[in-house]
Amino acid sequence: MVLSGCSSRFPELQRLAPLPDKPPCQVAVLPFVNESNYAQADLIVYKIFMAELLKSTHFQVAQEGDIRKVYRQLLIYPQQAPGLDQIKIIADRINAQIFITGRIHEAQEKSSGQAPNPQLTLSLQIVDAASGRTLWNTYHTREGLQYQKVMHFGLVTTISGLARRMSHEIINLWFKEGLQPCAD
Amino acid sequence: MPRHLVALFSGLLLCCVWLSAAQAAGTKIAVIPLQDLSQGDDGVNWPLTDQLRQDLLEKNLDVVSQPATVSYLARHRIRTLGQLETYHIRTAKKDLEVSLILLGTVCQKTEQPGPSLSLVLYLLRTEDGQTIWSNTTDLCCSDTRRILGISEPKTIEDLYPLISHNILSSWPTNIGLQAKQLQSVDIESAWLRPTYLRSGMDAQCSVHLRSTWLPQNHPEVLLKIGENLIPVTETSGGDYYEFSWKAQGPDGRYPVSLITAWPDGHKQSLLLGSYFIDNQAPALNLELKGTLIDDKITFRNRLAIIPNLTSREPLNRWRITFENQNGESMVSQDGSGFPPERLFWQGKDDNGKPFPDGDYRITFEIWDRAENSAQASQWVTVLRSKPQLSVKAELSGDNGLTIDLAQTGKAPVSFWRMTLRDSEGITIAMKEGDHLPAKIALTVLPKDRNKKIKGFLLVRDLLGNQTQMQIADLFSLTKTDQNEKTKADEDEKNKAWVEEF
Repeated sequence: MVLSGCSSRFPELQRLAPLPDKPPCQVAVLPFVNESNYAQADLIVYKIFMAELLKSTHFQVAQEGDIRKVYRQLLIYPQQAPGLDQIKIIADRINAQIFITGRIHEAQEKSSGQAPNPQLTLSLQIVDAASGRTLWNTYHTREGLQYQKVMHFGLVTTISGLARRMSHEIINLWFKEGLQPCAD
Repeated sequence: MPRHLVALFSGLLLCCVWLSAAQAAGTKIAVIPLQDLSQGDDGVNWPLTDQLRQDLLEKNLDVVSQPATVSYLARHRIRTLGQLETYHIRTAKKDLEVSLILLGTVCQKTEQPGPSLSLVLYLLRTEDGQTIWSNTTDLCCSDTRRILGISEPKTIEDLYPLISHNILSSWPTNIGLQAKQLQSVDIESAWLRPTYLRSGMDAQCSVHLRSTWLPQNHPEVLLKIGENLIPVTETSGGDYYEFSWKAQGPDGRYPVSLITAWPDGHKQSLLLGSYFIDNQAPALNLELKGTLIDDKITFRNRLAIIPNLTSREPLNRWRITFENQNGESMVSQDGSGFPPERLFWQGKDDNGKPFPDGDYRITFEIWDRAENSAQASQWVTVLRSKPQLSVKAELSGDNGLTIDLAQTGKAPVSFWRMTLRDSEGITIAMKEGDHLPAKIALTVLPKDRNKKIKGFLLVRDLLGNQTQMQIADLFSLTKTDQNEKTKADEDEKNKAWVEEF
């Protein structure tokens, strides 16, 4: 049984403003915001997305520890998005050219029959670090069963497994749609 | 293929393998205990950490002992695993003498419906604090089914060696350990206050740097405030820098940056924050919703107070004060942020005691974030006195009786009703009106003049104050005005301050 999920219209990219002329080298992934009822969905997806982005080897990605330190210094609480002035300070302190911000809209580990069928819906934004302006917004939603190919093969049974594949799809889409790798 | 070429290729291959192994053998790595999110944000997974250490040893890496790593974390008060600050990564190079750090997180670890595990790893280079490799994988027992089920993993523990082997399968073969590294500063803490201020007020900045340099390489530290560069010196006790200045200039945003100038000539600039000069007072006017009597806003038991803010800038705090005619403050109330859109006052103090009738001044004050203030005030009259009535009756002609109604209160009458009944309780007349004075003319036959006519009078003024009067014998009023028997209703029960107060 081959489902058509992987050929769906997601991930969906919305261009709000053009990317910087010079391809960015320094990227910071800001802590994600969890709007779902799944505890730690923000942390799980954040860690996995960060690893997938690093695997693309196109950017220098700021250390999570550095970002969380600036968040503490600026008194930005967990699950709180930084304000415009705070964005500028974070950009300067960690020397980032673009930020990636994210929101987990829905995450649940439900079942379809006997098979676990996790579901994850998220949106990721590429933000210009200097101005705080959102340049691209990407919305993505998937269920584990959408990756099933034949019998058990391809089946994704966990939120983290789903996050890994979805992160990979989003990063691929970004490069396909014009995000340039660092030239240095 | 000629024998000498085979020998040459074999030699080259052996040389490559030897170089790779030699590099690995000389590389020292610290494995930070894995963060385990399944045990909460502060969870640690020791078994999988040990498994990774073991597998790295098999790759001929020189792995720092676990106690030394834990001691390093404790020494630097690193409480959260799965992440490190660049400062700590670089410090590990000196403290642990490592070129690499492996850190990671167990993102998920579940037993149901089947054991499954998800792991993220990052490999960090201590020379420059960069992540040079990362990998993520997830594994569940059903992914590892084998023919006949021999050696098939059944528990989480069975998955540890498999996931470790799986995630390390893409371990980089050629790790670049050298990196170009410029001196830089690391800010431990920084604050700038206040954020909003008026021109001429004192601003203060404090920075604590983590020193990563030798004494001879100490950078010159400057503050860039707007366009001005100001050298600052350490306060006693280490790398603390404090500076205060008078904020001057037109309204606007003023960024403050820390500039470090290094002996080798390169400079680094870090934005500490911004402050805003605001010299504009917020605009305010006060609207009172009462009844206008003699050009004064008058009320009995409920006054709506509406502070109209014409400039929509954020406010820091507000205050409302009630003063009597002598300028004595009777009651006041404070609040932070924006005031409520509408406040209701019932003419009482904090203890619920009604203010006596009279004139009072209501003053509303607001302060914006820079402590620019604005105030507006208005006089208001509290009037709870009941309408004072005068009732006179006069016989006219053979059959006539005229009743004169008048009132002497300050507030005009908005409604009155007079009901007249005979001695048997039968209503013989009922009159109403909306202003006083008024006259009521009745026809009373001479034969009925010996009978009693009872009267009941209700009068209400514009503010809602009302008086009720019972007249036992209307004819007695034609003889004297002293027979009136008045019974006035009490006002409504005292009310407390409304919630907004």
